[in-house]
Amino acid sequence: MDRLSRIILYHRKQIALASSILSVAILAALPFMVTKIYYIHVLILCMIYSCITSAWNLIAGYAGVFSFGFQALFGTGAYVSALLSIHLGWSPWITMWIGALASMCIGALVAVPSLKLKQLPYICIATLCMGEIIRLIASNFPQITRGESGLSQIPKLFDGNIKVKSYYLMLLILILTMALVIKIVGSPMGISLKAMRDSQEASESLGIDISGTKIRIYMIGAFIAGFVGAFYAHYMNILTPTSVLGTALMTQYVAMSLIGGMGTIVGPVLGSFTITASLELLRKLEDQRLIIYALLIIVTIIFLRNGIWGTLKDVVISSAEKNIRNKKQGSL
Amino acid sequence: MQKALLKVEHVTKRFGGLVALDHVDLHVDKGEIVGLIGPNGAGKTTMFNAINGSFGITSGKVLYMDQDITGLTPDKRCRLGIGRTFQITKPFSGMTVLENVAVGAMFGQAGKKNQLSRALLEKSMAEAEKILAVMDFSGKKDALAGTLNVPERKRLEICRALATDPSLLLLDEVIAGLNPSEVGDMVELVQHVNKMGVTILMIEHVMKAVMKLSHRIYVLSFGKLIAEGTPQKIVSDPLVIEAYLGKIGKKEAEKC
Repeated sequence: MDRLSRIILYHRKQIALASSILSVAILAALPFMVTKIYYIHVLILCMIYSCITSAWNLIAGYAGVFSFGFQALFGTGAYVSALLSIHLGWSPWITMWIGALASMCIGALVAVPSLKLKQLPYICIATLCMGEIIRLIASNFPQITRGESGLSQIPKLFDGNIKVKSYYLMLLILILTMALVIKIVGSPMGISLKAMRDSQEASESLGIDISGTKIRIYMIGAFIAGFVGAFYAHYMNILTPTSVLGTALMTQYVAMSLIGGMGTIVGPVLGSFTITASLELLRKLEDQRLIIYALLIIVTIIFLRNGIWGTLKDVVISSAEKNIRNKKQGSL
Repeated sequence: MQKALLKVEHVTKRFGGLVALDHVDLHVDKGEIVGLIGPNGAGKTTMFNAINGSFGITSGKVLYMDQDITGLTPDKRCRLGIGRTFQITKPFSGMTVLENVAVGAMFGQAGKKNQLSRALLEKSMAEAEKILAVMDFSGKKDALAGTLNVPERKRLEICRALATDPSLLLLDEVIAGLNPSEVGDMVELVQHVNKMGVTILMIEHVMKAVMKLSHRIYVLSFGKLIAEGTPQKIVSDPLVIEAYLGKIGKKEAEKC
């Protein structure tokens, strides 16, 4: 038992590396084991949400800037890429990048109000409004976006066996996103984000360029969200303002982060997979499944303040530490 | 003649109708320990905020090494060499003591930084270890900053500011609230930091400590500078006695 504790405490990096390789291997093997194409679709959705939630978690969970307009960045990527490929006939492989860049620019714009506003509620309201503005633009220019009736027949990324090919592309996007998140969190930039979350005044006085860091992290998060949004557009081939720009999407990424564990790397991915998968599997219950969804959120907020992953981590580490302490006392 | 490291010229700060600082002039020379005292609400912390840039001033100028820094943000001033501590300590409570100090080393020193560089992180951690050792604080390096008690938090504030490699350190009440033996430790610590070549401007209410440490003292009252000079001169200044020290305070201060 205390050998296990020792391994947990002193080899955390190796454990993390091994388990990430294992999860990637499992994800890569799944299409061979899962026969139903519908399950592949659910897994793709899980990975899409993992990316959005991880990107949002960088801004909200690490930097402590709660943005409730993040769905707009996802939607911007989706709409820009879809519109360019429909109206100009460009290849979706190119428009995806343009969509992500457009989203990045919008991200920088959304960041600006949060620079002047230091208090959380104001930032929430400002970002929420920015998100709604973008949704309203998309639904009120029917000449270009076809308004609420939405875009359809968006060019596809692949021919033949679309689901499996999309699955592997999305897996690649998820791996790259997570690699970027891990790189940022483990770098000085990650430390500056956490410092800003704890005290902006102290961070400033210690030389952290708060405005610059906020804009940078927003742009990175927006790029990820925009790129994944563009993938979503070409994968689903249908877009409506409500589905990709609506506040329902916002509740989802917020809930996934909260349930998985904010301010952790694994939490958002875990939250996205559990919630997306369980909601899809409960589809038979139709709208009543939303009750379960709401209950999950309430239970997590009351009993697991750090989310599933945060709580699990705390319990495992503290019990391992206790184990070793007891062992030491016993030997004295 | 010694060159002034910091010069504050005719600085005024208004909050709506309240004049928190009223045409204040002061200067700090290289190598000095200068005290800034005065009754509560006199504008001492406001002066610190004006010097480190936490907020803009209504009029006047702040010069540091003969460079006008009035419009610069706090992070830029920090990289120029102005470090500060906060009266109400602001630890990064979710990080360990070592990480707290490393933040200063990572971002607060002069020069451009690659924010994704792993090497910078490791170098800063090593520097932070050294500072903690010098400041006799290594025992707590792995503790979460949120779990520290008041004297430890104050010590952390100083360590963190020192990690930015400052030429000028602004200490905001690092002694107030400590018990007598802790006061002695802190006085030694401040002297030690000064001997390391750091110029110090300190706000303090504990007269015993201010008298012992300061080479010169400025007295603020209701936003106005009412006296300036050596500790001996300050304690016998009738204006200062009336506004701040009182008769008992004077006696206590003279005993030091």
